[in-house]
Amino acid sequence: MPTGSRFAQLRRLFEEVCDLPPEQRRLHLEASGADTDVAAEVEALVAAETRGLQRVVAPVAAILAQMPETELDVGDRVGAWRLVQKLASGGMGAVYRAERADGHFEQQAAVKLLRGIPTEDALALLAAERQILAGLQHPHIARLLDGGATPGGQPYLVMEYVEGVAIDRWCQEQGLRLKARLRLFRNVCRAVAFAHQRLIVHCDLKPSNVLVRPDGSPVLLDFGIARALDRSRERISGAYYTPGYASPEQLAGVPVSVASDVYSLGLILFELVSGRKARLDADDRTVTQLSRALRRPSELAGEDCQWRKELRGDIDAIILRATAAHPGLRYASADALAADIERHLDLKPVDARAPTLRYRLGRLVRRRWPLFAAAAAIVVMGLAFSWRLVNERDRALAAEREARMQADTARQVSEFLISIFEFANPEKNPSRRDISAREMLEESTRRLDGSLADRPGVKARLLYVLAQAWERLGQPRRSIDLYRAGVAQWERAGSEHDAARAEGLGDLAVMESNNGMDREAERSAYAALALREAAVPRNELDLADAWNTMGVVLSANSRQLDEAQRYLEQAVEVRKRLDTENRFSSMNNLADVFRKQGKLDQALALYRQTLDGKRAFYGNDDHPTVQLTMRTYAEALVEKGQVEEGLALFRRSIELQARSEGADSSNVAKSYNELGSLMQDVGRYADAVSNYRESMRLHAANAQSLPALYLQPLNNLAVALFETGDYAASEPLFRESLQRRRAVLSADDFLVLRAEHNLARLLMRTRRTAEARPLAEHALAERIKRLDANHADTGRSQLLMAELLRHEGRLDEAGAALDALEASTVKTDRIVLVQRAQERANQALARQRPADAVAPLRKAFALLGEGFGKQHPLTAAAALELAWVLAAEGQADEARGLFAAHRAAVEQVFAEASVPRARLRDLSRQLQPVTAAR
Amino acid sequence: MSTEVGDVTELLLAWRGGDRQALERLMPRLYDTLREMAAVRLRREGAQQTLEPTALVHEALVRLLGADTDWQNRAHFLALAAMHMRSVLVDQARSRLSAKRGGDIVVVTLSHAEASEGQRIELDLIALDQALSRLHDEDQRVARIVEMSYFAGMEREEIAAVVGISVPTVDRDLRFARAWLNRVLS
Repeated sequence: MPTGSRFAQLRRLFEEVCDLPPEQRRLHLEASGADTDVAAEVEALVAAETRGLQRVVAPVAAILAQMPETELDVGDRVGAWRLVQKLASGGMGAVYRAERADGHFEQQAAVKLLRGIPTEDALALLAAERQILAGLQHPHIARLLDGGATPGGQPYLVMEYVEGVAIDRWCQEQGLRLKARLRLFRNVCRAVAFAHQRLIVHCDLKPSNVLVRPDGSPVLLDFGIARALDRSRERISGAYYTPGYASPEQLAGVPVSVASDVYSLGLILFELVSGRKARLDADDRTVTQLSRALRRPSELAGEDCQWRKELRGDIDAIILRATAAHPGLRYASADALAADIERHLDLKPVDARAPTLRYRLGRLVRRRWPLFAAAAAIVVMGLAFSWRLVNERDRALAAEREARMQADTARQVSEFLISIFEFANPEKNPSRRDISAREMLEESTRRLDGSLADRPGVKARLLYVLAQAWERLGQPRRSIDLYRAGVAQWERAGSEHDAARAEGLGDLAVMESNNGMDREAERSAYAALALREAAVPRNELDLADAWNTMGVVLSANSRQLDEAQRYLEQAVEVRKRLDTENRFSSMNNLADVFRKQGKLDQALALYRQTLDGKRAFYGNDDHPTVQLTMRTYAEALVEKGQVEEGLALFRRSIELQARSEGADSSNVAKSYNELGSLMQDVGRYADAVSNYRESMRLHAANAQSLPALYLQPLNNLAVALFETGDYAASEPLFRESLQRRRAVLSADDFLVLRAEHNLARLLMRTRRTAEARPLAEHALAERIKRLDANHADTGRSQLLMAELLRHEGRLDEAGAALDALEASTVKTDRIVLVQRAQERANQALARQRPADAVAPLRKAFALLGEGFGKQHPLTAAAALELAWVLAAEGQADEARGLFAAHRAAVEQVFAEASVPRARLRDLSRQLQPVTAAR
Repeated sequence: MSTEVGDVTELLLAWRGGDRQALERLMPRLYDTLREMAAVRLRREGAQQTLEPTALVHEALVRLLGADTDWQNRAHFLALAAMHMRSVLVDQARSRLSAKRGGDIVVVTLSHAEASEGQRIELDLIALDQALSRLHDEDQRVARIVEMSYFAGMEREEIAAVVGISVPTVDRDLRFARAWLNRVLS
């Protein structure tokens, strides 16, 4: 310790005197001979010491206390977004205006950083909820674009940024009249109803969550967010909602349903038309007066309300009904609320009125209100239009019947949804606090199974909603089952619903086809077509839909291409003639068929025509469907041999896609996978591998990407590595692929079978036949059971069995299996034919008869050369295999020629341990001395 | 955070083995743990006054480290972490201050009577930091002991072991430091 400094002197004196009483301290300091200012300083230090260290502790505590909120701030990056401006902060967290930070294109968004750091489980749940919410697309609902967690674990949501003002301010600033306010509010209700039909409740509706754009259109913010958060949160604190607009049941913590949103809408309506707040503070009685119907809104309205009188009657009744204390007394849905407003605007009697009668008849009337409303309407109509002709009245009555039925349907749908929301309600069901979107779907599916037996039409609609939800969650089989159940319900509902049934069958056919269920897809598509053909009167557009579906289904797996072509040509003709937007999809589908038929020139011309047509129709290249045609066109160009042109076009389409959808969109990831596949086709394996990896990276980074999508590039990468003989690298990928597919799909799904097949092939090639056999056998057995006898996949399995027998040394059986396969009518393609020839050669080699291997190897080489070009690595590998046998047979000259022409390609692409490289090493050893001797 | 204990132990071993950067890699974890704990506490108690900062920091560090870490190791780790903790908090205060001021460079003197109320917390912390730096210039050991005590919540026995002095000396140092800082900051 320094001794000479002033500090050291202070320290020493402090120690000496700090425990002395004041008088002795003074004497000691005097005696020490210190300067008077040093002595004074020591006194001050002693005095300061007793004060505690609040000045040190307080700021540390304060900074810590504010940490959770301030982890990120303006200028920071969150995912692909940069925070630009803080818009608000509150109990839920902070909201920022943000811009895309990757500079690809300009896009604004609102980023909501959520307070508190949830557990891993909670984050996963939130991600699942996000997937559902991302599907909520409506012009009056702000979209959820993105979300995730910051590196610090703070969750965030990215929403469409809406330039607008809160609805109450808008009405005031624009000086909107009562009718304009009602119309605006009705549109808000319709948007809320749209979300309710998709199983999403808002739970935090308030004027500041309803913005109005400069063009006067309303936009709902934060839809479903409160609910999603609630479900994914820890138990510690209460629900996310704004007390001012929360329903009594929300405040009481009892089950929440669509009725809670109806209540909040009622309060918003009250504020919009009365010009005053419903709840100024906790003691404000307005809300109680409303919800118990103690005073009418027209009485509660402010003195300066210009249309107080106009509120009396209808509007009073509508608000009181929407804000009733008991959820069961409110409108059954936001749609019903909107409909009543509409009736008021159209000067029709509103449903909310006539309370006297309602209360007298009590529950009975309430249960049967659509009947009651219809009866009332018919009476009114009878009075007003009695002069009309009878048939006119009949038609009106039919319309009423239809309206009544729709009202009934809406009510049943809402009741079902309400029961689901109650199941998912954590307050009611504490053990199920962490309920996920998936569980909710499971429960919905289970409940629907046993309910609504007497209302097949309603049930069918709900089944379709669930089917779409399962599809979104990457569960195609579940989705297909529900589509089928929906179709069955339409059938039960009777022949007047044939149009709906045909539509459902068409959707089902496409789903089945996309999932390898060719036979089923064909059946569904035919059934849809039959219904369309039987319809009276026939509708050409509906027929064209059915033909288009037939074309898609029949051309899947290149099965019945000529028939597919005929159907698609019919569809194109009708759709072109009637000038519909979807004519381009049929044209694109037809071009795909031409391509599969090998009619490349026709395909290219039609793609070109489709692309030009779409560009003219949409005005630019930004529409996803334009980009889709660009990609298929690019693939055809590559196939035609215009490789550079095709690849450039494909890359251009990815750029466009990234610009319009965001560089991290899962569609961009999908496109990278397709580009990789294209690269692989032309033998650029290194490029293919890097594109697959890019695709996997994007899928993995995107929380909204479905697990099923990640599997595609994963599997392709494994195959690419396998084809270049890098078995060591591809094995873990094949295993991962199989494991992931088994985890989400059923054991007999065609994708699981493909993964089993691939892994079996790899195991066999690496001499692990014992492990390979059960996989190969399972795949074969299930394929025979599930697929067409002539399906190409079945043929692939049979070929693999022959190969397996050879590896096991059962050469006679292997030969017989191959003979049987070649005699069969199973579908083949070029690669399969090559593989058969190679198997034939390998069997000859196994029997020590290399001379018999020459002819099949020539065939394989020729097939590959024609199909893929002389430069393709697979062609080169086949050339070396042929050369290797030729050299052994003493035909050294030809062997040398093949070797010289193809060694570079093999060296560049194939792995060190691969068969082609082994052949290369053998050949250089065998052929080199001869070369040297010459 | 229990899943991370393994990594932390490895990093800690690396640090003991002479890898200085291991500690740097540990710091973000510390910060996360701390933030998480502060958040949970705030949610539970709803007021910053109830935060006991030294205890909180100490708990965060111990939790990060795992309960079964050897006492000696722990004390050395805590001592180093204290230094980082101080700079983390001061950086935090500085960046908040600069954000509030629109990016200006912050220059504060030890007296900040002119500062607006909204910036007090940040300025207080920065003032404390500057006072500690001055104390460090005068007597390195005393300043380090303050850091260990207030930014890592270390016990006097732990401080004594790390610095290599007796417990009464630690007490004396802390006592003087308290007096000196109070004097400088008042």
